[in-house]
Amino acid sequence: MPLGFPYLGTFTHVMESIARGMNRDDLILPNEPTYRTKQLGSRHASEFVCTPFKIILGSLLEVIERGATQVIGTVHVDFCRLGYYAPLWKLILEDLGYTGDIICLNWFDKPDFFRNFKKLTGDLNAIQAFQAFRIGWIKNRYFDLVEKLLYSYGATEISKGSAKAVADKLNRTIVHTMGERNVRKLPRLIKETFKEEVEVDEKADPLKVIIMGELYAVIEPAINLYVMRKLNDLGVVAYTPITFRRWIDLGYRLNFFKRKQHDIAIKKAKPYLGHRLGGKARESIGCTIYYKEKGWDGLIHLYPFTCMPEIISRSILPQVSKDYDMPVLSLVVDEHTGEAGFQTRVEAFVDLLERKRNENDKNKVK
Amino acid sequence: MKEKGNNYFLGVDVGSISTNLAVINQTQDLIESVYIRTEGKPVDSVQRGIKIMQEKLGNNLEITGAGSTGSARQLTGVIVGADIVKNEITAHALASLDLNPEVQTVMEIGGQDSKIIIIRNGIVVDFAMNTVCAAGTGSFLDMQASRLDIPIEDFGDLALQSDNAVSIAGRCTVFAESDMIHKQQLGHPAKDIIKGLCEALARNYLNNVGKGKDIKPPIMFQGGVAANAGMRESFEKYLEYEIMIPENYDVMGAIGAAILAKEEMNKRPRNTSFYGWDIPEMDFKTTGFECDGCPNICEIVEIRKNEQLVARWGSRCGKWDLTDEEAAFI
Repeated sequence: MPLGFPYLGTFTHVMESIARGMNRDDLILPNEPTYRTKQLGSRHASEFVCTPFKIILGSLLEVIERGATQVIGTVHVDFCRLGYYAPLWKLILEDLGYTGDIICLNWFDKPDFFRNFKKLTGDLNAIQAFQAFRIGWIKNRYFDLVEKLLYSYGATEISKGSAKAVADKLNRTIVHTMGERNVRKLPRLIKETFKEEVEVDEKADPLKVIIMGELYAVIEPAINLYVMRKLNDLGVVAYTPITFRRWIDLGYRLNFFKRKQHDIAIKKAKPYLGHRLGGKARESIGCTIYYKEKGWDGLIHLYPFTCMPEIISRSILPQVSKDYDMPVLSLVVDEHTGEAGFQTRVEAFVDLLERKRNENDKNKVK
Repeated sequence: MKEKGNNYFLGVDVGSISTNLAVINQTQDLIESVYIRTEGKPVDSVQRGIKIMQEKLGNNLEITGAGSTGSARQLTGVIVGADIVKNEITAHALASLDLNPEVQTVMEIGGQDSKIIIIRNGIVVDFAMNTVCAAGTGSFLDMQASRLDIPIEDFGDLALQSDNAVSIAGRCTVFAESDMIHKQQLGHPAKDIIKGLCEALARNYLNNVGKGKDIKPPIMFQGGVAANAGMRESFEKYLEYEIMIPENYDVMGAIGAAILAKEEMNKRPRNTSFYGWDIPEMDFKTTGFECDGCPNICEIVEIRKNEQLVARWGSRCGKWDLTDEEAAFI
């Protein structure tokens, strides 16, 4: 039974690594979401649902079209409609006449998660399956590292596109590295490869911008119109603390000695928003404060049109921005391909940050 | 007309509805400006605009720097050979600050975009633009004017004649239009409906674009919609501040682009890449095709000047971007 899964930013590589670790070679790898993916998704989804739903549905339909008869839909129980994603995909796919398996990995019901997960393995026993999953979450750390370096080297690279090429190459290397000892050696390799192969402008002192907002809108470049690459093209370092790592990386989660960045952020958001709303509402607010204290220049807040939790945080953010003197730009993403407006806002935001920094420098001299 | 030691800078602002050009001198005084409609053909309208500008100025005036802005800034930059291509928020802020260094709020409503720029101590500290929807912008007013068969120039003055605004939903233009038709069929006079519409749009702007922003005077209102006296009155009613409308409210973007060009040339002195006043005689051709390399089906646009390739863009993967050799040739 060929196994397929939707495309989801760097998480695609994590899924691929786990599947390969479980001796599955019959993989149908998803392609990066294209115009066609968007169209397929919006054709079959309800009109008013969030964009990520549509794009992931389109991506699922594409892998099914290419022959997958077993697909993974992740269930992420949350306080907004995100929790209904997988059941809805299931209904829509069934209506369209898909007869294969749809495996919902429900992370919030751990026994059920591993029972379903076991279905995906070929001939492994439970311990081996867990080990494969564990290697997956360790690799996820390194995919995140590649992502982080990509968007920091990308800002000052001399030959445009060199960082991206290195990142693509490294992602393939990580997927195909087997055995825990080899995997543990990866971070050094990643750092060294970037250092050696990407030529950067040493003198540049780039602005640094944090990307926050709704999970899917942040991690899938096809949804956010490649906002991080756009920032890089303007010579700005971009970074997002949002990854899937915080859910699947049990080693990190159970490490009591580590202070988790998102826990700190949620604590900092408390005076503004004390309840859990779903999405990344609290974190968006908390990160504005957290990264201001860490010396970042600005924050771009992304959310899909009609996303309830982020609309709430969007309304609170101007106040936070004022209180902490941290510029925030809220951007709505939807199916549109007209990037002109998007580009204008991002450019103007970078201009604002630049002028602000110049002004601060002047004051320092005085 | 050329004076020794005096430099002139051209700014071109091509938006969805209008194309504006402005020429300023070294001391940033406006020499001449042109405001024409884009009519969906930005290349044509830039050429037309330059021709009109040339007729106004005479042939001898030499341009030392050119800047482009507006939603078609990239395309315009290629056509006129701009030295700097910048977004319209920065351009508008600079033009307003040049006019009045004290200004703290700039409201700009154009054809498709409405923006608010918050300035403190001469620095842009915050800005916002309308999100996904173009409700309350110039193109909607334009559409309603032509539906009611009133010239857009008279629209605002008509609103001033009314002292009984009807209530109209301002959140969405579709709702607004059905409200307007309903009121019109009930027999309300056109001027009351128009005044109601202006108030609805002002409310919508302040609650949507201006949400959470600290609007402090002096407030400057510019862009094509600033010509509408009804809109100004509605803003004054809700904000309870006096609103300034600059003399050249319709070409502020172009003035900003010209100032940017001047700053750029002062920062990095060089010869301008401006093509010169014979742009109207040049032959610009844009051709589009769909790349079938992957399912993205990117729409690629090629721009040729006198049969020579000058720009190509639109691909996601960068496959169609000009190679270094091609770029060097230009």
